Parts: sequence; structure tokens; C-alpha cells
Amino acid sequence: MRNDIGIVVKASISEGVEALIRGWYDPEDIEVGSLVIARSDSGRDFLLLIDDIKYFSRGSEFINEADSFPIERAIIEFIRRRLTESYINATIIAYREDNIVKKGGKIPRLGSKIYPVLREELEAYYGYEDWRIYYPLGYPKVVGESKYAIPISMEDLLNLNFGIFGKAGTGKTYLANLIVSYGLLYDKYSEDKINFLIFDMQGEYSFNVRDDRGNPVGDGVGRVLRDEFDIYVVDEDYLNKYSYLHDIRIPLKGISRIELEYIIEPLNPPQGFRDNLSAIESSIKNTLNNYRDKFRNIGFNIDGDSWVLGLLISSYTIDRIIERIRTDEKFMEGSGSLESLRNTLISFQYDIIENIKNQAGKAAVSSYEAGVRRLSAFIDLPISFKEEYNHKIDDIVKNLYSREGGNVIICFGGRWSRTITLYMALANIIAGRLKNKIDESIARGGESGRKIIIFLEEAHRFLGKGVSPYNPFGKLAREYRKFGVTVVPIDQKPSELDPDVTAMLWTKIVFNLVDAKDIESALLGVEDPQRYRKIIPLLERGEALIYGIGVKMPVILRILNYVDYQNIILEKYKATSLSTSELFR
Amino acid sequence: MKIDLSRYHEGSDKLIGEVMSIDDGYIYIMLYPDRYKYVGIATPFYISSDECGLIAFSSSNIIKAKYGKEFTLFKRDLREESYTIYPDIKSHYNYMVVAYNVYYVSRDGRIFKRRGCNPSPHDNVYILYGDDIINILNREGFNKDLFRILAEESPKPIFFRELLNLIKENLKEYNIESLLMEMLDALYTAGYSKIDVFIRDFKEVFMSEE
Repeated sequence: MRNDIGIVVKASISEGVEALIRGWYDPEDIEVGSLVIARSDSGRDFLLLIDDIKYFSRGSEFINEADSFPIERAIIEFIRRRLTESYINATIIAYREDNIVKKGGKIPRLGSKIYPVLREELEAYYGYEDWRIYYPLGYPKVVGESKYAIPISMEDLLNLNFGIFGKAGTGKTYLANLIVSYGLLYDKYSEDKINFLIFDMQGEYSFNVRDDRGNPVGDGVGRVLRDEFDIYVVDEDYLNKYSYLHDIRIPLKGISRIELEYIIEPLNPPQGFRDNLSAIESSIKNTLNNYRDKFRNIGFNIDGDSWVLGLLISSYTIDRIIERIRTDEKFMEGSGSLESLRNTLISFQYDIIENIKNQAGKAAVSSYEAGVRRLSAFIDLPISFKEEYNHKIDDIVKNLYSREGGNVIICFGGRWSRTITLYMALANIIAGRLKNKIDESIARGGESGRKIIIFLEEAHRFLGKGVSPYNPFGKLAREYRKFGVTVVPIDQKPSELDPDVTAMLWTKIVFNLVDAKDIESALLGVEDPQRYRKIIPLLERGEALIYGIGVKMPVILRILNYVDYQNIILEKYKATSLSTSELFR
Repeated sequence: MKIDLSRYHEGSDKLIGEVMSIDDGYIYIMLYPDRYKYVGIATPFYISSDECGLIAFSSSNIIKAKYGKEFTLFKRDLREESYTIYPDIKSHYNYMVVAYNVYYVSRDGRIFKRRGCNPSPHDNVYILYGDDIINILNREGFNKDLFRILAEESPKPIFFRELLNLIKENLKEYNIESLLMEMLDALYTAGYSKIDVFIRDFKEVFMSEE
């Protein structure tokens, strides 16, 4: 027999339920975001989400009469017991009659009693985990304890775009690792082949998830289920340490001007440079026609496909380029006298300027020089003018798009983990090629039966207002769902995302946010968003609101600790009778 | 709760007067003049009637001149002679007290939380023995029910102040915090309005150094 927490004294569809908390119940034991049940004497029960707790007291003037501790305590206890009314306000999530769960449209009768929710009630509303379609996601907040983890439908979640939002350190990456793990398990039972593409900014998918002080606390999904992934890294140190990794660089050989525009976007090149880029490209290529043999004669393979080199050289960058070639064998094809190369580059740069001046005028030269100043930042990044790195991008895309292909993590962890320019450049070029690949496939009549799920951290940089319409990720997110592409924005600033993108997110998982605009954007699409506005800033680390088609009802969850769950995931994975390597530690 | 009724008889020095009249829950008691000095506000009584008894608490003391006579001043002029000239001067007055009927007492001394025993004129009125006072004040801890019944009559604040003094004198062990809480709870239940004054009096009675 469970004691009731309170009794319904007010209710409306728009305002939800107000319940008087019983005198025997301490309001401190009730937490905002908790689920409770209102049981009506009609036989229906209502699932409620507490969104506010409050009390009013009379007699507070008596406290002033107290001038000693025991007197004050007695007076406060008296006021608390006798002169205080405590209330909870709650949103009606759903109701149940004749064991059938229905959403909305009814309110509980006056006098309905509020109870802590039981496991069987939660199961009636949220269903059961089966580790095939439904996977345990997190524990709902309840009044008291709950050992029941609410399941998420991977089928529904992965079928349509979804998003993960929250401040830094709230648990987005832990959750994303969990979801990818579940996705790989679900893939074993799904008719559609699912391939994941993960842009891993900090190495927390490829290697270790970390606590808020940066200490590794567990293995990322790329390690736990290592056989499932091709992991590409930009940090050479990882390559030296782990033999199973592949290297990747920004490929500057063989890329088109359109791709270059994606790549240079984060450097914010001057408008004049952008406007004249076509003419500049043409001038560089013309100049290279005269220089290709000169470069070959001194031992370097620099032809028209390496035209971007012309955007990096100036009197103050040539020595940096020479130094890169000297110290980095992956930088450029060929080997020869660096002094000869230096001299050739000086005259090459002079001729480019002359060519631009002749073809496009002096103003274009100024634009070119301004652009070079910005683009020269690339020289210090992991870039390459070797053909193989261009092909690697194609291989990644081909692998992703193939039914027989696999999952890919592009890891930016290590030395480059905070280098947004690098992250955006590589992500954009891969997304652009993927989009082209799908376009080609569509033109050929298309293929079906394969899904590509793209996890995109710092998503606002790709899907932001003003950026998204032109960015390949924006196009994929908006227009390519029907061709099997799901983009999962993971972001701290959902308000900066293109509303056309957020409107297409069918499931949202929202961790703590404090900015009102971010909260507003994150709640776009939930019923009664005003009810959740107060809750989102109060969520603790690891707690999230989840709503949309991935779960049967909106709910606040303490997300399962991915680190604690790794062994279970691995066991379940092994149970699918597929091999995986020993954990690499 | 139970009191030893054998101690309350006509030869007892606790006998202090007789019932004059009753008015609903109020009992008007005429005091023997020499006993008047033993009766203050909030003094607890046992009143013995034919078939039952009752516990009551005095709420106000009244002295009136007998037979409608007017009061006359004379002491300043006569000084010490006044008592020689008028040796029975104090017997020319009626000494009365109004008391609240609180509990019913059966013939075997058991106390019931109800009224229902209506005393008759000239029924004996006794001051309660100290141990019976303690008995009544304690009922599974402090007897807050007694407090509530008294508060329902909305007595003047002085009544509760004196009652607090009585409690302090008779309760040997108490926890100030829980005692005050129980009292406030009882006052609130009874709808007593002067809780702020009560708290001040409680502090003065229980927290003062004296």
C-alpha cells in the first residue's frame, strides 16, 4: 500500500494539474522533472510530469518573535505543519483507461490522488526494453527510487533526424556513444543496413570518454566495438601508437573550387577573394601549366590538380612550406632540392600575381593577397598535396554508401582537438563528396536499403542560420532523409541552428541549457513547451529531457552511464554471434 | 488519566468553595473567604457532584460587596484600628471565581475527555493536589488536548500566561521545542487568535533566568 503524495485540487488542459501536497509529505523529497501518477476514482490514471513545486505559508511574522534556537525551531515547525500549503504543478503526459494509454484531452477529477509511480505503471506507459528495437536509455526521475530504465526505439530514432543538445559537460557525448552502440546492435536485427559516420572532435568515440577534468573514464564506442569501425585520425601520434588506425588529412590536391569554398569557410576569407576565386583559380592553373615541368625537373609533382598551393604561397609563407616539406613526408609528392624548390616557388608566386593582374586586374591581385593571408593558416595544419589523401575521402564515402560498407569515425582528438578549421574543413569535404555520391546514385536510378547516420558535433557551424542552406550538411539534413541519410546535430547552441533543420528533428534529447533562446529552440516541437522551460535549466549533469518519436512519451531521464554500461553492451554484442577484437587498452 | 478521589472530602484543606451556578461551560464558584488567597487565574479544580465530578480551570476572580452594599473607603483614616473596629470586614464580600469546565471525572476517579457532568449549586470545589495536576498535564507527553479545550474558550492572554507558569512549576521534564510546538498546534486547532502574544509569554515564562 503506497501513501499518496497529494491530492488534485485544480486541473486544466492548458495549465496542467495542481495538487496539494499532503502534510505528511516533505516537499523537499519531491523533485521537479519527476513522474507521478494521479489516480482518479473513475478508474483512470494519469501520468504527470512535475514541473513546479511551491508552498505558501501564513504566520511568518511569528518567526520574528523567536529569539532563541529552540523557540524558532518550534515556531517554524508549527508554521510548516499548520500554516503552510505545499503544491505541485504537473503536466499531463498521458492517461490510461481500460489499460489503453491515450495522449491528452482529459484531466483528472478533483480529489484524484497523486502517487509515486510504480514500475508496472511506467512499463504501461513507456514499454519494455527488448535489446532488438527497444534499448534502455535512462532512469526516469520519480519520487523515490526507480530501477526501471525507459526504452528508446532505435527503429524510430534512427529512421528520422534527431538532435542532442546541452551545455558542455552535460553528457552529450556519453549519450551519443550509447546511442551508437545501440545502433550497431540494432543494425544486426534491422532489415536496413546502417552505417555510422562520426565526427569525433575530442577522440571520445575513438578512444576514451572523459570526465569533466579531461581524465579518461572509459572506452569510446570505437574501442568497445572496434571491429565495427574504420577510424581515421589526424594526429600522427595516434598512428604511431595504434596500428589499426588510418590517417587522414585535408586533401588539397585534386579538389574543386566548390570543395575549396567549403574548406576555407571557417577562415572567413574576404569577400573580394571569394568573388575573384574563379579568376584566381584560372590564373594559378595557367601559371602552373608553365611550371609543371619546372617542378618535375627539380623532383616535385606539382601540377594543375595542386592549384590550391598557389593560394598558400607568398614571400612570407614559402619558407614555412619548405619546412613542412622537409619535415613531413606526407605533405607533398616528390623529393628534390628544397633550395631549388624554394627558388621556383618564389618565381611561381611572382608569375601568379602577374597572371592575375593581366587576367582580372589589380584589384583581383589585392583580393588574392588578402586571401593568401587568411589561407596561409592551412600550412600548419595536417594538409597534403598527395593524391592518396584525396582518394581516401572517396574511399570513406564509398565505404559509407555501400551496403557492404562499414562505420567510420573521423577523429580529431589529440593535438588537433580544438582546431575548428581542420574539423570543419574535413567534415565539409566528406559531406560534400557524400552528397555528390548520393546524387550520382539517384541519377543512376538509386539504391535503397542502406542508412547513413551522421553524428555531427558543433553542429551549428555547419547547420547554422545563414550557413546551412549552402553547406553540404545542411543539404543532407534537409533533403536527403528519403535517401537514407540522417544527420544528428550535437550542439551547445541549438538557437544558432537553422530552424529549417531543427524543425525536421523528430526526436530531441535536451540536456541542461540556460540560454532562453537555446531552450526555446530545443523545445521546438514539444507539446506545452512552457511547461519544460523551467525544468531544462535545472537538469543535472547526465539528465535530459527526451521527446519525439524515439520514446512513447516525453520524459526526463537520468541517462544510463555509458561507461558503466560498456560491459553489458559488449555482452549483448557478443550474443549476436559476431566477432569483435579484444578491447584495446 | 485518573485521580485519587478519596483525598477530596469535606475535611480537606483543598476545599475552597462551592458551586454557585453554571452557564454552559462556565461554572461560577463562591469561595470561602479564607481560601480566596489560594485561587489565582488558571488554578485547576476538582468539583465533586452527585454522580460524577469534573475538572475545571479558573479563568477570572471576582469580589463583590454583599447585599448590594456600596464599598466605602476607611483604611487611610483608621489605619491599624480598622481591623479592631471591623474585625469581620472581609466577610462582607462575596469571593467568586469563574471556571471552565474541562473534563468529566467518573466516580472512580477516571478522567474522560468530555464534558457532561453538570455540577449543582453547593457542590464542593477543591484545588487539585500537585500530583493530580501533573497527572492531568501529562497525557502521553504534554496533554495538548487540555490546551486546545481551554483555547477554544478564547481566554485572555493572562490566562495562558498563568497556565504556562502552572505547567512550568509542575512539569519536571520537558523539551522546550516540542512543548511549544504542541501548544501552538493546540492553539491553532482551537482557532486561538493571539498566538503572537502567547509566544512572547512562553518565552518570558520558560526562557527567563528567574
